[in-house]
Amino acid sequence: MTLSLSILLISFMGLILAGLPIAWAMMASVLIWIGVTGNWYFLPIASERVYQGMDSFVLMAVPLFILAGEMVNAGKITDRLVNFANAIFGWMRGGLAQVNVGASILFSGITGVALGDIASLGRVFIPAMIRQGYTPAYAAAVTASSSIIGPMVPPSLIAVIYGSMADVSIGALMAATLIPGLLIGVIQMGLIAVQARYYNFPRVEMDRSPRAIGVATGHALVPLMIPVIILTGMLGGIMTPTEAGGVAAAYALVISIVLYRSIRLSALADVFSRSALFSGQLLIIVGCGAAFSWAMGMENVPQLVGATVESWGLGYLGTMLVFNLILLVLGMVIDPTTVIILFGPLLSLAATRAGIDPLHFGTVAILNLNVGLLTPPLGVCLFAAEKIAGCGLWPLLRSTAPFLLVTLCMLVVVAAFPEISLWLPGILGF
Amino acid sequence: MNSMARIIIDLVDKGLRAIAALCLVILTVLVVFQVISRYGWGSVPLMTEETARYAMIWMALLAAAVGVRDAAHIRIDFVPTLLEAVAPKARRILEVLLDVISLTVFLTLIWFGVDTMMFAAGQTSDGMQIPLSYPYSILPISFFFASVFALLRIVAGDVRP
Amino acid sequence: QEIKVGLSLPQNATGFDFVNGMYETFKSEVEANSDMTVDLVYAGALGAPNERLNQMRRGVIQMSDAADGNYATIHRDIQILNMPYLFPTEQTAWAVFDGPFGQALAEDVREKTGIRVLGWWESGGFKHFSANKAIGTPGDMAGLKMRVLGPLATIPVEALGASAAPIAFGELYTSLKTGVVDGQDNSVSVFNLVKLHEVQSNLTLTGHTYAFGPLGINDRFFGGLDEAKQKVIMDAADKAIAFNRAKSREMEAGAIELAKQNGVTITELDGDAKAAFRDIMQPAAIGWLKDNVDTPSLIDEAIAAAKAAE
Ligand code: NA
Ligand code: NA
Repeated sequence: MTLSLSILLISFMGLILAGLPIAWAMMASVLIWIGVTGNWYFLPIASERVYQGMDSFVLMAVPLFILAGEMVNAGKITDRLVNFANAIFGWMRGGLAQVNVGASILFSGITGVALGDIASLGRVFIPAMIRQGYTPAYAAAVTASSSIIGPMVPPSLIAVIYGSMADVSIGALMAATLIPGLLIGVIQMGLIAVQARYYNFPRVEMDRSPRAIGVATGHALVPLMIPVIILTGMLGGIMTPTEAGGVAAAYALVISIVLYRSIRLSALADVFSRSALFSGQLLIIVGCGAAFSWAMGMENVPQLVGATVESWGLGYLGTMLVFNLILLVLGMVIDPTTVIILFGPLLSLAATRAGIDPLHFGTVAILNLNVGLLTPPLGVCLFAAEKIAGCGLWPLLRSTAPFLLVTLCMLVVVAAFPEISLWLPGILGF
Repeated sequence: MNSMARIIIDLVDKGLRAIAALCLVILTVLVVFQVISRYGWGSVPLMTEETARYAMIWMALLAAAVGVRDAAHIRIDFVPTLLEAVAPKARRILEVLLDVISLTVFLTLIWFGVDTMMFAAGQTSDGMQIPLSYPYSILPISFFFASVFALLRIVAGDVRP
Repeated sequence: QEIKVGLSLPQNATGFDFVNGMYETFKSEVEANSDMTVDLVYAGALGAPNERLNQMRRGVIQMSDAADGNYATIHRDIQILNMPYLFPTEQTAWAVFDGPFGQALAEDVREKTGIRVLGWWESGGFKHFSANKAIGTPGDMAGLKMRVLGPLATIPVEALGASAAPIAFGELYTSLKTGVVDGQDNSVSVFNLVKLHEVQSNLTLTGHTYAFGPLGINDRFFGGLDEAKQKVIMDAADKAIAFNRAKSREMEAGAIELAKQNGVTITELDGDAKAAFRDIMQPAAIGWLKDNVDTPSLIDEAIAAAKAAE
């Protein structure tokens, strides 16, 4: 590694650790790198890259998916989904905990951001579970652990970002993450079932007549159409991912205004404003990240990484293992979206050179990085759930550990067997 | 800071938010229009995609400027949080230092944003055939406001609740 | 001195030796005959082609494999050479590029953009239409949704009665697979690169647009070199372009064979059939070019130069 490259990487890591926003840390380290190498005439490129990095049609799916998710949240349709989840999953022992996971699978289909899941579902489930006698730490652990299913079940924002950064088809990626996402749901539900026997968790008391279930389903059907629209639109060849995002946002807008009359016009302005601000925070990282990865390109880093990986001669499983460890460590300290923007293209390229299917690698990377949301020191989903439950971080970590363990097992299975992720996209013809 | 200045700053802040939101409205409408027009009359006007792209970039950069005022940008606040517990004063010093670094980044981006804009003046866009300096002008504009907000945080401790 | 070159494709991208191999030839020639080094940065690590073109103009990098469409954003007259059916054969195109017309254009590019064009390389040869049905006549295009980019490709396609949609290259395969669009136009090498044989049953060798690239180098950098080094670079460029053209011809033949093996029906067009496409596409393109280039008189000059070279 050259001295100038070391300076670029060290100043970047130092600045983000000190707490500088990631976007500005990338830009500042590029400026430091330019200063140290004395190539002052590189400066205009640094600013140009910010704009050019965002200048992409595919990337437009990001604000549109965010808008669709925000619209759904503002439309107060959470209750309908919880009722529906109750109807299908509530009969099991440990009913409410099971419903918590089930709602994440359903609801995740709409927002696709793990944190959004905790903010809206956590507020419903954590108090309810505590009232039924679960410990606050367990309620928070189930909520946090199940929230990471969200980004795995389409539509997911992280798949949009991965696809546009690493040049992988977004539709194919969403198809690839679906089964691994459901498997995580199943294994977490299995764990709860075992715990429920052992600790004697209560069932959910509710009207389970066909009529009541029918009503709950009917109420949930309209919002559940959103993932259906996105998936059939994309996989059925009606729309590109960007267009699917736009149509989903428009659909959410129409049902919120017309059907539920739950959004007032002023609230609507707020939804657009919030979505714009949140999108801006992600897109500016993409822009500044373009400057950063350009600097890495000038230092010929991709070539270096590819050659290094090749020289290790690890083979398929070895490469998969090494990359998973790298991703796991990155995911523990940086949020998944940022890791993907920063390292997605680089790792994807190196993985492809090692003979790993880019679609399979993308699936594993998304799953892996989401696991990082459940680990210290930067498990944002843990923190968010703790904030609602007020149970203290240490008890929460202890309650989360079994969930983390089964999820990691599933990660190993998914990584070792490409068929799990590649089967569905294959069937769908990608 | 006197109240007049505060009113102006708040007005600017509100305006930027509104324009960013408006860009998102335009973006959404254009993308939906693109689907409709492809199925409705088979063809998509050349400028649709391009205008939508520009709307997204404008939205993102304006939102990024507003994010400076909100202190909303994604960061790893592990060290600052740790400092808050053991040495609150050191944390405040660190935060000011970080704002100064941000400000330096923004000022550089204004300066070279203008340079980028001038350089792009000779290029025309594929769709609308307008000089590329128009869409590029958002670079210095956004980072100008970002600088103002960063400066306010440094000199007046201005952080929105 | 170091010459940094930004390239689009990864190293060893199969079927694209005519680009990467050209720069690799250039590198080995320059490094064998001088103390200059050539640093090839592959896989778009320095940004998209247009962006690398900018970096090259600014002298941040010295060369890049930006091609015709990218240069069109900074030198509008260059688009004239993308006019449908301007050149009957690749050899005619080479003669025009290497002759006085090409030399005058190169000089104009240098003056207006600060990029010295060392020569003109072939970017895979002619572009052809593909779809899931045979395209034998212009009438067969009616109602097809074609993925093409930019007005100069869009307007002639619309004149044929097809509709046009700009789809990002990364979504091209999926869009064809799922039917967002029905067809596309690219060189056969690009057709194979993204496995379009899996989603397109027919490839018609319409040969409507010649795809090329200026082998550019930052003019200030070039001007700062002593004469001996300038000569090394020019000689290396000649060798690189000779390699490119031979390779491109060889690879297109191989690529057509490969597409056939993959089950694609190849349709060749005779002179009359091509003329039928030309008579619709060319006037439509000329109409647009007249309003959108800086030197409309070059349109007739280009046509005359191509006639003379035949
Ligand atoms: Na989801
Ligand atoms: Na949950």
